[in-house]
Amino acid sequence: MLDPMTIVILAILAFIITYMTVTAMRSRQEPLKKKIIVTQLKCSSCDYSEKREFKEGDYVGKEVGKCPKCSGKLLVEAIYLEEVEGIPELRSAVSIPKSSQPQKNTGKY
Amino acid sequence: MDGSNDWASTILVLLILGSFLLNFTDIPQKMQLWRYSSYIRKKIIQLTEIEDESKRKVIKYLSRLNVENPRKVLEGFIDNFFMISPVDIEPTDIIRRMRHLIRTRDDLIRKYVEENLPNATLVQRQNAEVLLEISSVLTLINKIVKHYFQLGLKYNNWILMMQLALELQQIVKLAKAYDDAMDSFMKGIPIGDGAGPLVAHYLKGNAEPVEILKETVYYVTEIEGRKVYVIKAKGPGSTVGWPGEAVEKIINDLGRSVSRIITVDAALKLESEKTGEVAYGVGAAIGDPGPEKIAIERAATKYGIPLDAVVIKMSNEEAINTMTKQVFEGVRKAIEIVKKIIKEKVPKDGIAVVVGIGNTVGIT
Ligand SMILES: [Zn+2]
Repeated sequence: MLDPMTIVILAILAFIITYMTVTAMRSRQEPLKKKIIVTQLKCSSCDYSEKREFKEGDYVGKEVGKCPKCSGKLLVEAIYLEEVEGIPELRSAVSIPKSSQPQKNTGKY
Repeated sequence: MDGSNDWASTILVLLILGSFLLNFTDIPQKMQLWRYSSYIRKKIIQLTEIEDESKRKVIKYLSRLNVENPRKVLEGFIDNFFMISPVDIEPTDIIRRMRHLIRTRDDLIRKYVEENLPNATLVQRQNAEVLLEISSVLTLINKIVKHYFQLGLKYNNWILMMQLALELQQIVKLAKAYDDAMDSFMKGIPIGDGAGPLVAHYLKGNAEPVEILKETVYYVTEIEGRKVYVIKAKGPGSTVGWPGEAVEKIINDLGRSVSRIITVDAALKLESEKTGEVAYGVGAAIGDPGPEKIAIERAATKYGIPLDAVVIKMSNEEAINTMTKQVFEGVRKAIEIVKKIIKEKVPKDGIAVVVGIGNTVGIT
């Protein structure tokens, strides 16, 4: 027969072990969101615009070629970090710097 | 005596002994010290990794620019080029003294980079300056953390140790953000802090730049039928320019004909605020140590010109890393607000000065 004291001690032990595993597990899981740097191009004469992945050397205001619609100047309109969902053609992109993912405060030391 | 009674008395003795140890000895504090110090040790390893990573990045960038001995260039930069704040118990002309010191330091760094990267373009040199500065800052952060850690160990100061452990999560996060930011500067991608210059870029339209000061340009354009002077740092290299002095110069030339000065800048958001929120108010929206901000305030006060501020909110990490879509959307909102201010508060024949404050990396 187990006496009540043993049960209490076992219960306390079980609690401590569960608490430690839960905190350890929580610190490990980090949400993984895929984001990519997008360059938005816009024609300076008509309303043509397109989006593509950022290429080194791009900067806002740079002339990158001719507009396919009216052969006006095609300029870089914007460069920013965007989540991949929504632009399927860019889905092949790789992951991004870790700091732009939200980090959880686990409060564990 | 039966078994359960025996158990109970053992537990009772243990409890009394335990409470004596906990209340009348240093053992709990020692245990805390040990726990916190092992946590800090782990974080210091992480910080050292980040520091080494940043050094590797600088060396990679410099060797790509055909620098002969990139390690030597990096080592010659780290720990040097500090600036001692001017005396502030005697505040007379402190701004002039501070401006003098800041410019002297800037010139020194520029010369150092120029000497060591003679074949690089201006944009590459400006980006190298920032990379060196970031690597230097990461080294400093690591050193300061180690300093307090070793002090805590030396004097068994468990409160110091606990404070350091509690702060470290934020410190490591900031260090990581700085390290990640290096990628943006290496590739010349606009960062969150570029929100102000980006607003200026869209407002200037097709106007041609006029270089008014080193690394600072202005454009004359027309918005809502009013003449507008748009000031920003000269891109697409990494620089913030001298927007304060540029405003001072332009206002001194134009005098009372200016009806409004509008400053646009990125601002630190509170935890509960969303990234990309835009707010407007009164004053000079600029986060420099003082000289640039006071130049704008003095110029505005001298001629009694109202000073508007428009800010785009973001976190510290977002400000130094690649511009996010939320910040970009904030930029769009800020443009509308600036246009609205011009339309409603500048008379038809009046002049407005719009200043885009921030780092213009990746933005012309
Ligand atoms: Zn076109």
